[in-house]
Amino acid sequence: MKFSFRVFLALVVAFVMLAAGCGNDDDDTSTIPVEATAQSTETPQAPEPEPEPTEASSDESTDTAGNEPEDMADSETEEMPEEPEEDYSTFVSIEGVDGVSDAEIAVAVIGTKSNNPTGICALDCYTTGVQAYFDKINDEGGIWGRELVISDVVDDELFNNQAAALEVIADGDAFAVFTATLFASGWVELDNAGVPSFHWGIHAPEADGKLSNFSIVAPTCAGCTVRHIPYLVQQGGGTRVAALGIGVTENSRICTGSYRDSINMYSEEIGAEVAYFNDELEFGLPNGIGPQVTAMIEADVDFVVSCMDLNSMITLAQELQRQGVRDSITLHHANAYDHAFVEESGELFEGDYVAIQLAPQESDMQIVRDFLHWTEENGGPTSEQTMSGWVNAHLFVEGLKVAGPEFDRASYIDAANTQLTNYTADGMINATDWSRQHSSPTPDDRTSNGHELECQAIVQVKDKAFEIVSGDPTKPFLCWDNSNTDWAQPEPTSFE
Amino acid sequence: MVFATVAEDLFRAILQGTPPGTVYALVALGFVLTYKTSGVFNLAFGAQAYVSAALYYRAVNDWDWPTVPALVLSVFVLAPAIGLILERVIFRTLRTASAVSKLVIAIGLSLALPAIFELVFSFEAVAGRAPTGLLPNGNGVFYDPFGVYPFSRNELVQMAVALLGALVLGALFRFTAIGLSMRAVVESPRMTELAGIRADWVSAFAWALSSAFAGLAGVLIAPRFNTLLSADFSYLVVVAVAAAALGRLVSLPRALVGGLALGWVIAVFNTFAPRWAESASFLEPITDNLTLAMPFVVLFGIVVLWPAIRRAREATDPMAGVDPPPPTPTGYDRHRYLSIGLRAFTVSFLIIFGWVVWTQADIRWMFLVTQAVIMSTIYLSITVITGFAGQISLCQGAFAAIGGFTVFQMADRWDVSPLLAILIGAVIAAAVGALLSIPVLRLGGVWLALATLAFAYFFDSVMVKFPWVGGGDTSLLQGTRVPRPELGPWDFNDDKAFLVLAVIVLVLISLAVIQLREGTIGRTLRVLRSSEVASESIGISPAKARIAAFAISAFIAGIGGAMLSIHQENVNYGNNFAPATALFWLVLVVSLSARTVEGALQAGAAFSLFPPVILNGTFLGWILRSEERIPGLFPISPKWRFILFGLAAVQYARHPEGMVEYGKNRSLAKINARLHKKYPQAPTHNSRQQGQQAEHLQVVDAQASNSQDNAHSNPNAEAES
Repeated sequence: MKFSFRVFLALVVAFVMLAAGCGNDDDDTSTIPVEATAQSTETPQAPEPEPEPTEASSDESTDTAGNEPEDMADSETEEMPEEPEEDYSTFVSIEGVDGVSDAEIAVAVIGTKSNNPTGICALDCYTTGVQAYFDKINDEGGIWGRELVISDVVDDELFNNQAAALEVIADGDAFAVFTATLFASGWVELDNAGVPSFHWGIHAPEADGKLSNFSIVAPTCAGCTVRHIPYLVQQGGGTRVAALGIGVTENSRICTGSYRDSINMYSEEIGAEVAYFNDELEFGLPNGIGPQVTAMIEADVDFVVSCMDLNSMITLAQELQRQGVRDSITLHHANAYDHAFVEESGELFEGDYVAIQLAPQESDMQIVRDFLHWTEENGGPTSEQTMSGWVNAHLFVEGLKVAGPEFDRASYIDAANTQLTNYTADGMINATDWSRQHSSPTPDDRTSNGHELECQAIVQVKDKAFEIVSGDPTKPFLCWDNSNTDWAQPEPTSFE
Repeated sequence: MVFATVAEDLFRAILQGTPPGTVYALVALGFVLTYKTSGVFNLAFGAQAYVSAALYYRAVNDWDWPTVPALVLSVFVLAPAIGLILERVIFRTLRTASAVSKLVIAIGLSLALPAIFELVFSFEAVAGRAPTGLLPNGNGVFYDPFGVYPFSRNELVQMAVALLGALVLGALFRFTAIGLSMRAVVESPRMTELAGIRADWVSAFAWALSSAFAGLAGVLIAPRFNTLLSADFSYLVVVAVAAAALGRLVSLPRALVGGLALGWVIAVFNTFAPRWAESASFLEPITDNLTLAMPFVVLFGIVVLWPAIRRAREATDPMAGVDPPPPTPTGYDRHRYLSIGLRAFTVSFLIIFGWVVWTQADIRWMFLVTQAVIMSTIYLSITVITGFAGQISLCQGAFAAIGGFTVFQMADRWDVSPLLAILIGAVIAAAVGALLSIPVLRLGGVWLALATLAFAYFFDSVMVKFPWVGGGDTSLLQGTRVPRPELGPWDFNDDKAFLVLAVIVLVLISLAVIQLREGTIGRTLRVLRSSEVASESIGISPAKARIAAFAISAFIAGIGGAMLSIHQENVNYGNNFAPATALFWLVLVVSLSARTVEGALQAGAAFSLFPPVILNGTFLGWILRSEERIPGLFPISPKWRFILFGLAAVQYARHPEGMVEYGKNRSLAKINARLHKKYPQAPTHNSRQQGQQAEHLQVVDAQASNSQDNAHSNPNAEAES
């Protein structure tokens, strides 16, 4: 019998469809951000506008004007919506605004699920975080008399973010867009259309200058020196430091250079120096990292700061283990805040430091407890991507509050940019002034577009779990005054 | 003392390079095994290895199977089954196809196989979840036989299997009857049959064996990756080809040594290069960039400079003469009235389609249609280099990226109009294409493809990093933004205006390509495809023709890349022009039609519109007049794009005119016949010319198939000579 290729092709198609239809989806629980975003900047510590005013709880905090927190709180209070106890349930009928009906305020989520080359849980985990916060708000009665809903979840399939953004814009069903994408090619379309958009903060170039675009952290300063890295080296007892980065990624190379410069800048104060520098490693380290580790051993390296992805850090840690120096070299990770991985990986990352953009889940804060509770209600993982979705949703709601009961996209964006000048996500992030932080600060000008405090949340891996380095779970951030680059010990800080 | 230190460092570096070198050796061995036993340059080897590795991972980690049953399932059941299916359904009937055709099929399979597996098993990679090896704690327990550098359990197993594989397989081919039979079948299936050997069975065994080896390699290699991704395996294949090339794809010992040597060279370089750069700072930029580019530089160097490869010619089956001649090029048999009718239909369709888009399309569809138009422009570059010149170029993405980056740089640095920058970018791309073609002039189809692939990866890993290409700090702060142009009263920030511009560019390029096909260069390229010797005998310079083809192809790709970047208002290099993306372009174009302008247009439409229209079920919404009525099974997974077009590329060998052209001709055959019968008009000047041309080409093609390029390769003959 002659076997026709066409028959075979038809059989393959039928079989695959049948199998795919009967198969179960795997839940992807890995939630590591794609790129290192280790730099962080600072903000004033005045309380953000909330129905119940909270006190600034940082010790000895100052703003750039050198005012005491009380002064800052007073001055900030003048910019807040009128009444802390304002009722956000007032209903005003709104016509002609995409995504807003009498019953709902709808948003769309665009992200990468298919063709994801990194293995991280992007779209699903991020959407879980957004939905979790929406559930919390809806449970409290919604906002402006409406429920918050996700009208559409669009998989941009890695390469089609721009088309996905246009699809959402054209459909007209969403008031705002949340994005968890690996290629942010669609943001220009969202900005051109005046759609408020929210994202997880790894695409600073695409976000630059777009007033409608809000991330979990404001665009960071590429190339600026930072103090948390030398601080970590000092904490870890490091004296000879290696700085490692991936060569094909401009972000990683710039990041590595800034870490080297940071250590050089405070070398005397911390008693450490850069002994090995390599920003040209191959992505994924396909040829291993043996010669580089040997060179680090010969240079007596005892601390490694890195701008590499999780996979590369695992390879590095394994190579250190192989060459018998894992216990004598401490690592700094930019992308390893993964509870499931740390539990499974045994001793591999023991004692290492992990920098994260948000207040860690180990913090003793109401917002974190809420996050854990509502995420669990949604059955989702409590990953860093989920936290990003939660924070973005929080920001979205805060913007609605300040926009008032009668709003449209333009008024929303205007209100968010003029009134959210000390936004902290109830303490989950370093306070952000959205009136001036839509562009990246530069080494020559760190403050015009930068935070008022240079802050970073850092945890350490101990016994397969994370511990907050600040020592106080109510104050998870380590902060410095960003008006200068003087060396000082950081202040444990809370933005709650 | 210094010498002793250097010697010690060198020895350590060699040891450090052994584990990755072993990985390359395993892949190279598998490569050689497949090529030796089937004549197929199996770029899908990585995909086969990935599939077995992923199934092993699923069985051990998710189903909690013990190691041995999981290994049996993934390596000795699934892998050989894949091999048998590939042999039986695809490659058995393509034994006499050219090596280039088989390469294209392999590329298609490399895209389709992982997608099929991931759909069937709902498999998704999870970051940081490393596959386990065959031995418990394989990555965590080390042995240091030399007291210099320890190896993990997994690595020792890899080394043992690589060494054993080379020895056993070498002995199999040299000392056993089945080994001799496998080599004989590749050289001449018919002669083998005459000797009483069942060629089909031997071929099936060969494929099962090579696929099982691919599966074993996959399971052994996987623990090196901390996330199980098919792209990592594909990357390994590209690198390991350099090792396999050392033995001209036929020598197992050389593949083993080549793989190890590659690992050693990289490790030695990584050990000593920083020291050289410290003492001579001018070396730093070179050493920095060479680190990333080493495998591709080695591959390019071997392919271009290795004398045995440069001299290599595909040997022919002595009994190939009994095979029927290749099918005549389509179009020449089509009745003139039918051709006119088809053209009229096409023009009408495009006019109606254009009117619908112009009046009904929202911003999303306007974007997609414009993208389809621009992608068609890029694909015309493949029409020139592959359809006309018969060469497989796997670096069209790089040429397109040159166009895009040029527009970005011109606009960012000197505020040059994007319209002018398009031309500048195209010229630069053409120059690069011409330069690239010079060292590869003498290479045959497969080796040329490999050289272009090496260039594509070199561009990706090195060139894009340079600030004068990828933007450096500017791109970090603001991305590679590209403005829309303005020309007098026309502001191309308006999407409709830009669509018109894109259509004009496409029409101009299409006319140019048609003119090229019918003109001197096109005819020269066609004759070259048929017989290079005959071409030279009548004064045609193959070198000039090939350089011209590369330059023109690169020029067109540069224009398309520039237009795409302007359309998206950003170069979006990783999104648009990465090497893997360009592989899919090739598969798409050859499966539809690489030889016609229409094929490029269809490929552009398929690339941009197939997922949203077909996979998302939108066409059903149009038919049913409501999106609400689209059945719940939509949207279909985007992986289907890779499956359908990847498998469709298989038809390239049988129908190089493309599936659409073939299908069209089949469906119109009766009408064509009726027209010929009813209107047996005297041939016009054009049709007479075409008829004479067709006759000449048939004769030349038939001669070629008896003497040179259209026969299958005989790798073993080269080794024995």
